[in-house]
Amino acid sequence: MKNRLKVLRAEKDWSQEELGKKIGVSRQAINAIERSKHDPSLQLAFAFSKIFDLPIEAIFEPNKVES
Amino acid sequence: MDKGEVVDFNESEGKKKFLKKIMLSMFVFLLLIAVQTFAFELYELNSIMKVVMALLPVVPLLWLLIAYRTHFLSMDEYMQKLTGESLLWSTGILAFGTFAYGMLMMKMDVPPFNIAYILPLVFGGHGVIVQILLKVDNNEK
Repeated sequence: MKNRLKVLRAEKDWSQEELGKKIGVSRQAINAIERSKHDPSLQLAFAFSKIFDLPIEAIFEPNKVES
Repeated sequence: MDKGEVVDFNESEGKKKFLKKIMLSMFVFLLLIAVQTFAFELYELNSIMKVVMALLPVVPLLWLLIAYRTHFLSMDEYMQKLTGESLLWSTGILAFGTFAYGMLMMKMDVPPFNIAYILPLVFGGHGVIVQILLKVDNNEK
């Protein structure tokens, strides 16, 4: 799943560590999510949405499902 | 949660607590090994006491397992995922390794292997594999 976390974090001038502390996860988790190595849970996605004041779909973009 | 609020999560604090528990359990383990050794050397133990004394050092390790579970539950979802994968690797390698060794034992003479080494191998291997998985995720482009 693609996301705009790195850009949004840079706009706020937060480090991965700082963002992690704000939403309650480790720096490694932020790094993995930014690199699309880990898809966050719905609860975590809502936490990102709240901290950046954006809807979830403005932060995360699901992989296209071929029909 | 207000924007910018720091939630109740401190990874290094949790790690520190867990490290303290590891050190304490290792200390108690070594202490009980000494108690066990002296008991076997100095006293004529009956069968029940022999079993009790032989198994005494297992107690702090069981406590360590419970402490590790608590530590696991305090991890975030990503670290839990990595830890789970690492446990799968370490137990898988151990299971296949011991099975292969057993197959060898059936067909040829091989050095004996004390199964007491399995626990440190699993825990040690697990720790190493977590670090490898973290490095892979951090370095992969």
